[in-house]
Amino acid sequence: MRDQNHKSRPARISVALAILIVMGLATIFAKYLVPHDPVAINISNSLAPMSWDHPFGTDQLGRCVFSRCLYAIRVTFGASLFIAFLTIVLGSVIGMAAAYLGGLVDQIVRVLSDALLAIPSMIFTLIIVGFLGPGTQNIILAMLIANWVWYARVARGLTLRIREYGYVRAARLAGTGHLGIIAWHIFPGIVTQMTTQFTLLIGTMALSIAGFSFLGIGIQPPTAELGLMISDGCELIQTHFFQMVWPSLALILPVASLNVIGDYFSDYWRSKQ
Amino acid sequence: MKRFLIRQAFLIFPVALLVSLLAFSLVRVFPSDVVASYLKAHQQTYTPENVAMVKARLGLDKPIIEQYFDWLKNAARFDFGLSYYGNLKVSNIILMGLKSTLQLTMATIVWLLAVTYFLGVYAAKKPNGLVDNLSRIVAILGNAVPIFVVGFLLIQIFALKLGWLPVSGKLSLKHVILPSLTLALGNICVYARMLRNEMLDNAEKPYVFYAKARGLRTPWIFRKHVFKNSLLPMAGTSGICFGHLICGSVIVENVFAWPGLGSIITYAILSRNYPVIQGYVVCVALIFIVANLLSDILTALLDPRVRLGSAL
Repeated sequence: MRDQNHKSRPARISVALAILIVMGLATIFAKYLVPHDPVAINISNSLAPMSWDHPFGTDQLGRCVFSRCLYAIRVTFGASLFIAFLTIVLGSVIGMAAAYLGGLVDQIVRVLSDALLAIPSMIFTLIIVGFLGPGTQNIILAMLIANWVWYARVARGLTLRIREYGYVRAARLAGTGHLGIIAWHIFPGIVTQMTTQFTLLIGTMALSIAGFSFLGIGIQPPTAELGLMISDGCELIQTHFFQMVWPSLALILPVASLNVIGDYFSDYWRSKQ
Repeated sequence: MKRFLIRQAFLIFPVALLVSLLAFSLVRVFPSDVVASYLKAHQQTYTPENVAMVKARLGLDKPIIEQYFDWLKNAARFDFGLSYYGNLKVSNIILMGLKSTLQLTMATIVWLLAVTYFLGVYAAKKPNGLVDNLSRIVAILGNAVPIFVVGFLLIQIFALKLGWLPVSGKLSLKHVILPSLTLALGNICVYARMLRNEMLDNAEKPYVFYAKARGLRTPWIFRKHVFKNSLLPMAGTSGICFGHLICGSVIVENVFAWPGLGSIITYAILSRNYPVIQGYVVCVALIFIVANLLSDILTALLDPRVRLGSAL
């Protein structure tokens, strides 16, 4: 049934990759591309229309929206990459250790994950931020605490299956140490799945970070961040609609591209099994 | 069924224990912070006498075990003390918010069921047809567009440009339409795709072939056989879906100034109102425990394989 979609997929994937590469390069080389300082305030030039000097116009404080967008992508997606990477690494290590060692460690991880999974990770993040207080560091820490358990569960399930394979037993008989088996035989077995999860997680995390900033409990102004820029733009929605559109597009396009690629890979691996 | 229910009920204990420890300990990890925000809320200065007085009033000077059991005893009666601001009982604030949030969630579920049914079934009837491709694009966008952007776009179109619906607040039935639609859209994408895939998978099962062999018409088979069997995974994820709705409602309530739990918790976090946060933690955890339990029971009722476990 899924074969029907097969033809349209490569086109979708190349569009998504192109978007990611262009936006990625623009963000990395933002320093050479931006026409203005993203935090330089110029009240006399507030809410200027689009022009060559200010490609996306200026905001209420006269800051160049194009420059701010480029830097905001850097902040939002930099943070989401960081969180997603740490979450996946932490989840994989704990999941592999739990499944491989078994016994008490496994029991503890299982009870803990059952309890944590009862609460959605966004609410859990919200609660932890509630007690730690708003701020960039706190939001990153809270998201890490709230999310690792989902990926530990995935890694644990995969490891449990791989552990029983013949080649793992053979390696054990050949005298490979536990660390060696985890590193050389189990880790390569889960790395593709975890990479797919990682791709999907970057987008989810970027949306969450923007959401928390929007609520005012994430990254704080005057940092240029996509969620903050969107929420500033929303106040001007009646008069200056595009103030909201530019940062929204800067958030939506990469996230949609990442999701398309992630979904493609997860379908691909599922059909291979 | 009885044994299944008992087993599910026992699973609640570790969750409840963890939640109570979480809600209790998070405040005790930073006690100086708690005293400071209490003093700030009551507009008093940070002097040693004041600190000692507040600690005595909040019970922070007792041994930690005793504090925990005191707190637990009160929490069991749904008593979390007074809010730092306005001298209101936390339980009253939470219950009022809960009522509004549940109203919003119920309205959202109505949208969700109606639109998911339409999109999912029609997409499955004609794979790669117009509705299917439309729902695929909507699904990609729905997972990428932040919920607050959706909210503001709907406000812009239906409230400001067309003037059909009110912008924000909670006064009449009309006020619930936009927030609930915003909250539903993100989930509709997921569930419409799920229903469509599940129906297409089911359409290839032997029982459909058999029904065709019996001479039943295809629309009839779709409606009576395939559709019913495709609902199982959706019943199984209804607990998770409810979780998503409560998560989403935090942002939606802020966009539309809806006076629910989400608005309350955001305000409480920004003003460091710890009793309210604690009450919220316990209340939300209870909601999720109940929602997950109900979804498990629903799945078990619908699917004998789950209900009877290994006996089958």
